[in-house]
Amino acid sequence: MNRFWSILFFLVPILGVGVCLMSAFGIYPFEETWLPVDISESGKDIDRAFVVVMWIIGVVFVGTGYFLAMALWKDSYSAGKKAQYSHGNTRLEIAWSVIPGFVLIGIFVYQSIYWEQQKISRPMVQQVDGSEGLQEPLVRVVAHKFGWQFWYAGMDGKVGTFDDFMIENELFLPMDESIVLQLESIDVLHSFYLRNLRIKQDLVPGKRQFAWFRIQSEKVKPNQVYDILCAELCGWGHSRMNGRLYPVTREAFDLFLLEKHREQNSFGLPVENEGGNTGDGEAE
Amino acid sequence: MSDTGEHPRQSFISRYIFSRDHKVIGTQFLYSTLIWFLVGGGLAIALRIQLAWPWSDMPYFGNELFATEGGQITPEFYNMLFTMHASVMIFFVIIPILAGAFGNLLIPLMIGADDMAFPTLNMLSYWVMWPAFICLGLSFGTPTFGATFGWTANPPMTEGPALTFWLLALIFVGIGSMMGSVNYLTTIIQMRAPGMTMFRLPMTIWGMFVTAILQAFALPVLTAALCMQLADNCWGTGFFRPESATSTGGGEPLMWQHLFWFYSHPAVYIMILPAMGMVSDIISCFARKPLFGYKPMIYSISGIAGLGFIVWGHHMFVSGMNPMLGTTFALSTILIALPSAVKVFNWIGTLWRGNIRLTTPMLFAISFVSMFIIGGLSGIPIASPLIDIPLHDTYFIVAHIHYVLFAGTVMAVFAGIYYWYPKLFGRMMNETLGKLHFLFTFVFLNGTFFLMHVLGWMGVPRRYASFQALKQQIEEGNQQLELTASDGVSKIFVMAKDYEAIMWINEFITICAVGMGIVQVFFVLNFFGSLFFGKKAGRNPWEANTLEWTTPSPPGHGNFDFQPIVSRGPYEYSHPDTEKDFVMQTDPPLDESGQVADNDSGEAADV
Repeated sequence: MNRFWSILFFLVPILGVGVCLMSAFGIYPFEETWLPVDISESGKDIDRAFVVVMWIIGVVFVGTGYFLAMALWKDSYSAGKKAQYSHGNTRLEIAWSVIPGFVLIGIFVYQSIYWEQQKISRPMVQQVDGSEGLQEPLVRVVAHKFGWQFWYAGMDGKVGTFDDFMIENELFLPMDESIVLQLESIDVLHSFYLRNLRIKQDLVPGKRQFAWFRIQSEKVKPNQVYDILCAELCGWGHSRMNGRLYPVTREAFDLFLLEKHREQNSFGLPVENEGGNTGDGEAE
Repeated sequence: MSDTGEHPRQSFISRYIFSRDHKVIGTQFLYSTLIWFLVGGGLAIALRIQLAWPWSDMPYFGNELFATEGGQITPEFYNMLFTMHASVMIFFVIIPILAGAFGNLLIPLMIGADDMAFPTLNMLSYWVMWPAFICLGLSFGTPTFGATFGWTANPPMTEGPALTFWLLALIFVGIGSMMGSVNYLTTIIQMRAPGMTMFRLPMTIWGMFVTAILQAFALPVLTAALCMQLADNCWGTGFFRPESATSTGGGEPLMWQHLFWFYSHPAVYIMILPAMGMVSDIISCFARKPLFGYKPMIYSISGIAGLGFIVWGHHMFVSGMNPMLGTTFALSTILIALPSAVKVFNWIGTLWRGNIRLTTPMLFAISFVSMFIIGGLSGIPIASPLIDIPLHDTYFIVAHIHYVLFAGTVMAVFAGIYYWYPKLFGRMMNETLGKLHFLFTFVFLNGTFFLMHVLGWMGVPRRYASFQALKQQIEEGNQQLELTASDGVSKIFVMAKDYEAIMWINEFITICAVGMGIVQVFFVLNFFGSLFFGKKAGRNPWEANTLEWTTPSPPGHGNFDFQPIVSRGPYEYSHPDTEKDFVMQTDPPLDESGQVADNDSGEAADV
């Protein structure tokens, strides 16, 4: 019976690692269960960090799991036998504190480089006077219960001004250029979650946040539309707070803006949301 | 101390209800928490059913409660299910069963005291739980059928009568825990038997001791924050509410998150350190081998607790907190993996070259180690803020917390119940039923929680009532787009491809979760059956070393029928100079030449 229990504990790392590998390689029944498609420039850094850490913890998982189950296999009870009398081993204690310590610090340093790019250093651009300044947001994202308002710049080319126009739940963004979004919430906490761009940022009412990324056109399939989800519980409609992201070329984006500006009346009132038909801008 | 069983006659009420005996109070905690465990489990099954088969009719009460929905639950009801599941499990089950039940039962017995330092305070710490039980119970009667804002209660989403009851319940739990922690600290510091130095304490007591420190220092912060949110909700003070339609503002939602996690992250250690201590004692006992690295184990517990105070920000990497601050919290969080790893290595070191008796408590204790390895390791990716960006608020987090708290702590709690049941009730639990209970729980829990990691790295967000809305929108969107796409290529949403995988994984998880619920019948039958039919246990049925096994089973009032004098550490198993493979802490030094030296130092001797 003791052998049975040790086999049970051997199965933990075997099945655990098995599931991870099946998911990573899309083996039945785990097809389409690995990381979401990545269309961003920096997403590969996050994905690589994830895979590196998964390999490290996978090795530790298998190693510790093996020794745990092996102890049960070889040291099961027999009457008359006496266990080894030992209170520990200082050299072992030092070794298994110092080595993981270095590995953990290594993980910390490695990920910090990309974290800095992802969340701390907002892209800089050359301004008119030649100095470097923070890049201005292209779209202002306003979350509310339960939807997303995307405010685009009006004729003045700036977001956050009186002539902005708004489209609900549909975000058009140009590919192959650095994009900054300004994120706000008008009621409760929400979280702006673009799975395929590896972007997640909570929106706190009363605060402005920024997200930046670059969509790579070679990773975008023609006519593919990407989800915009809410990742922070915001009420009964949390799971229905879905928007859509349309990556378009710069030319199509400019055409789309132009068309909307033409539709805008002279008082700069926002245009009505036209649902899916706003997709025309992209098709042109 | 020598008056076991000879206590002045007391009425039924003062003996079993308003008792000041630590064993009765511990048993009261045990029964209360086990009943709440059933409630929390029921809520979990209900929410799993919604996830696997969304919007199917609610059985029995559906037509009464949700007449307008045609018997289906509402999304808000789903929010209630997971909020109340978490609140009940954390505040009414895990924290009180470890500190309240095991702390009360074991601390005086294991340190050689006749009772707690403050018996009346101890009684109050249990009875103040009742207003908490009543408040949370009343919250089920509010229009939303309970709290619906998630157990983290992030303002400004929180409001309404359910919030008031929820906050009051937590305030009472906090008061009770603070009373308990003061009592445990005083008892452990002041009331140890002669010869019981701090470095002769069993790891269970070290776990309780460090936990009590955490509770004493972190809980006041949560209690203050709860009172502030109560004021926000009842009197419109606006500590945490920014300006909005319902509030004049001036508050800061992030402040709540800081204060909440300042307690609630140490709370994770409150929910696992006593379990680690219990597991250490059980593994050493059944491996018949001294605990490997006793002092490193104590230092690592203390390290976890110390670092535990400065890691709360890792819950807030993407919350809008300054990302530079995130880097700092990432460092402390990643470092906390170190003492956790040291503990795992030491447990395996204890098992290695032991003489392992695979009894039911031992199986549960080993499964704690095996599962804690998963729960601990899955913490490393999310301790790194970069990798946390895609994983935050997905099922990866749900998997992580359940591997630590269910597969970890709850398995350790089962180990503790099977291990100390003979001491508590004087009878052994049935081994066959116990092993069946272990086997099926172990298999089903992995079936339930492991695949949540997969959902997590797929990017599936947590707290979604269903993914049908998404699918519906995807389908509608596709139809619309097919009409408008000029090149005739239909457009697809990425999530649509994942939908099938999400659904089969959710169904699989739910079937395992229901199975896990059903097999607890083995435990219930065993627990109550053994009260009447279990084999009589002697004083020391497991041949363990610690002091509680020198008392009669069950111990009478005052616990010890002799004055325990401690002459060695708790882990003297398989000593080469003794015939038996255990030497109890109270046994006199073995021979005059003093070969069996007091092992109070726990110095690491080379193998």
